[in-house]
Amino acid sequence: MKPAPAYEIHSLVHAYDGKTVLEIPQLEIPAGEICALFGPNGSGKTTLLSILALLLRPSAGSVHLRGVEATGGRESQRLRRQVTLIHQKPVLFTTTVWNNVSYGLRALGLPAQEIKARVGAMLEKLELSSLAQRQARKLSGGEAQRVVLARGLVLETPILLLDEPTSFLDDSFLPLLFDMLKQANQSRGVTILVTTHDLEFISSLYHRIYCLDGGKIVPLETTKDMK
Amino acid sequence: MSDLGNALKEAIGLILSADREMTTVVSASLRFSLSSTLLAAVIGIPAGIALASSRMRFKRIIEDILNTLLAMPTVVVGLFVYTLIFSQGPLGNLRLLFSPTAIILGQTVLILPLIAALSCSAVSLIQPIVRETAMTLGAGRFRAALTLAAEARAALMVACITAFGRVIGEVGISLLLGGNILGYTRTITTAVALQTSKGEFAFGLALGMILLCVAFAVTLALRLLGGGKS
Repeated sequence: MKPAPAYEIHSLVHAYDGKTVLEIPQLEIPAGEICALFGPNGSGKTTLLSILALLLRPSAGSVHLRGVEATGGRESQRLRRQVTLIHQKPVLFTTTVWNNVSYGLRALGLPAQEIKARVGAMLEKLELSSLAQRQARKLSGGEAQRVVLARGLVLETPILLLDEPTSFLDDSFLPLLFDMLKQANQSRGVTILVTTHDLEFISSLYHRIYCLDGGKIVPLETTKDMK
Repeated sequence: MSDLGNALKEAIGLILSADREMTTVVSASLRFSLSSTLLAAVIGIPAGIALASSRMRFKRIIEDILNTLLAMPTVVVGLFVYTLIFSQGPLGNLRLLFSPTAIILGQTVLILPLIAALSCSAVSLIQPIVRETAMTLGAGRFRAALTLAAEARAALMVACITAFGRVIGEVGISLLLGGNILGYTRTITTAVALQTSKGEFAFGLALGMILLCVAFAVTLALRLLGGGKS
């Protein structure tokens, strides 16, 4: 049986102060694909990601996440736990690196042993083990970026949304990020949506690309083989 | 000047001799003030966070009301609580008047708006992205609120310190609701009022100095507590 799409959007409209910033009649993001959302600054990419992360309710229209309509309230909270959004301007909580990375797993109420194992493995993968007990706000820019990524990736949600990762990640770190995204997609079938205004960086990765301009979305290219 | 000099001497003498009356009133003041600050914090901090996070229609009006209540004179709060707990009041059968509970209740009513308003303001200064980050990491509303509180903990501690300062130095509520009963409801401030009415200015000033020392020690302790690592 074909899995439900990661997202189905119908007649979505979002407006701020009476001005329409997003208008998407229909959009389907298939499960298990890596998609790029391309568009200039101010085209509505971040607003769309906030809606897809169920942090923002659209002014009109519906969003189905893996076949279930997001209607708000407790149901949305349950659905939200299937999605991880890594913001363009990430923030770290004022606590240790370990507490930052384990935050989501603790929120899910996982057993302490499992949290320890998953956080430990993720910190090691991102070369952060030696910083585990360091205050997150005292890290260098590059280290903080890796902590933000570790905190999102450790959740292993079926959907991962990244908002302009090139704007907050060092170039030297991008190959490792690509490997991790590719691995998550291939081994666990994670659906990944990356917004960018720089297609170059993700060209080796994506299956599908959407272009967002003036709040309207158009598919530019359909599935291609992963390079 | 001579009164101040005598007061200083007397204050030092009282502290060194561990005067019984002084220790009783200091202990009562501390108990009442810390209890009311704790009680108001338990109610006021969550209320302030909820108000800061809400998008309700009348949010601004509620904030304005809270800010207006900050100007409420202690004696008016005392009178308000008095009408509730005096023998014919709605809570008269609880027999709270002239008891420590009445003072704590009155002081809590006094500083509740202060803590709520300052908490609301502290949390409002935290960027919305912090709450969004918590929620996208799987936190529900309650955990997200706790995260906001943790991020604003230094400012929340300042709110508690300010509230403590307001209650330890108030006299209207303690006098009206406590009755200034030695060994039971007499606090530093009501003792100062009594000494002053008897013309014992030096002793009154000495108690005032002790009050400042106590307030300083508690403020320091609370600040150190707030600055601790999470």
